[in-house]
Amino acid sequence: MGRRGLAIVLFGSLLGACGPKSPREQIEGRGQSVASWAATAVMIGRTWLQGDVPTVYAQKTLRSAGTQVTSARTSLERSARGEPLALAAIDRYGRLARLLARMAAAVGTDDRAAVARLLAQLPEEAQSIRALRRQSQSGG
Amino acid sequence: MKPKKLLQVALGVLTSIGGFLDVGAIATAADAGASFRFRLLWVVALGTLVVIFLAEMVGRLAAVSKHAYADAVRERFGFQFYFWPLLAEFIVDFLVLGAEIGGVCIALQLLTGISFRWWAIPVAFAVWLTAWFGTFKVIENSVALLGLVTIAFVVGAFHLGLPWGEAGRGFIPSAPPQDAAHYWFVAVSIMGALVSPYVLYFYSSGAIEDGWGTRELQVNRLVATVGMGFGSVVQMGMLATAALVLAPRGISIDDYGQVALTLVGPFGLWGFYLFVASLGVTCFGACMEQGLETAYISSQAFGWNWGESKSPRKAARFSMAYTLSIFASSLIMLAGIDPLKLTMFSMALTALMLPLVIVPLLVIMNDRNYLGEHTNGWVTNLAVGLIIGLTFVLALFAIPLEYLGG
Repeated sequence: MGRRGLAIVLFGSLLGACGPKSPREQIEGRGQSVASWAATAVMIGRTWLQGDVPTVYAQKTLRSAGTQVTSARTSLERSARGEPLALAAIDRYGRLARLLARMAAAVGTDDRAAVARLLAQLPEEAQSIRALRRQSQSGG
Repeated sequence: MKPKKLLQVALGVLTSIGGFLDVGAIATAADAGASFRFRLLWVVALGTLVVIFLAEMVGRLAAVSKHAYADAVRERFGFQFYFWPLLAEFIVDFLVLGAEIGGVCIALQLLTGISFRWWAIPVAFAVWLTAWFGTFKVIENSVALLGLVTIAFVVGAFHLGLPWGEAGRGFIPSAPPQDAAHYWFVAVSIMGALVSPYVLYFYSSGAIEDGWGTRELQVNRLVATVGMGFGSVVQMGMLATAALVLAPRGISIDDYGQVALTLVGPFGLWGFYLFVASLGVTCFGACMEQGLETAYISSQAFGWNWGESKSPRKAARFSMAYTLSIFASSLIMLAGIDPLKLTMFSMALTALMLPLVIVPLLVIMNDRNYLGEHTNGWVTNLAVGLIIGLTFVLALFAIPLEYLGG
């Protein structure tokens, strides 16, 4: 491939990257961030229960996690176009965001029992989100 | 080596460790470890090698020619040429100083829960007060000593049981397992964080302030090699703790709140406070160095009286330059721009600007009028030239792909 050919390929890949994201691409891209926030919440919940992180930090970071997940959900809603996988992801993101908000509130009121209960639900949510991501990657 | 010289080397080494670590080192190492485990250790090693070469060069230039780096570039190439590297450095300085102020603000946010935006002006004021009333020696040594708290990352990595085999393989360049665009973007950002031109400008200006001569060439070599080497070990420790704590849990880095967990893993609550202290102290030190560096390059470019050891009255324009720089950059945080995103962007941008800063240095380092018999050897020229060129080409493609690809 000559220099001109290489330039065309690189320019093409840049242009491709600029285009609007399909719902599947969004589940793949932002899904990773959402799953990461779910995993973060699990670690924060566990360490908070053990007294290994301060309440102020735990509450603030869980709130940030909720905001990020809600933002991913809103962005996916805009491009879902009725695709079943996207609708399933929107539902899961919504459940996770609500869970995170309740957990942040429980940490704020020092309700350890509630935090432990909500924490038990988080791994399942995280697993579902990862499964959706895998599905979108395999095109299933 | 005489005891006085040993003390000089020890202090220099400590300063280099302090100067080496900043918000960029923490953010890029954590991102690399969380996303790719140990696979990007080779970039840290390569960047360290380059920064050792470059720090030794600017120190040698200052010791032999009695010129700080910016001063020499302006004199050798004229102001019309120097204007472009200067402009590039001003832009990068503005963003990086904003990110460093952001690092201190985030440390305070983690501690108090009060949003980082509210801390922007108080932090800028504290940095300015220290620069205004402190002398070069006090600033240099206090930053160096307090920066030792970051050794917690190395201890943490050992405490967690470092997998030597996997970590060792990380020193061999390898293709990314997934997400190639992000892999190369993080690699470029690590290079930008390591080979920060501000460290070079600050190092050479510091050598002039300390009155280095040819007698200090050996000290310079030791300080550059051992100091930067130790700094690099600490950064590798940061990468390793992220690889051992965050990667197995599937946590990638979107926020500094997640980075704080790297030390919670090995040390519990103490780890949280050690992280806050590491972030706060290194960024506060870097804020002062960055603010002073902007004043150094402005003064050396325009021929103003300069020196942190001079009272503000005797170096009025120098003092005005760091005052403006510190408060202007704090506005970025006041505007609420995400500190982590700003850090990663400014580090990648630094990598893109490197040739503009490094190529003139290589020319001067081969000029006998400045260096006499102490000019560069061809191995140094070739190694630094190649790595900087490669980093620039990678940055050219990795930055648009990372941002346009979302």
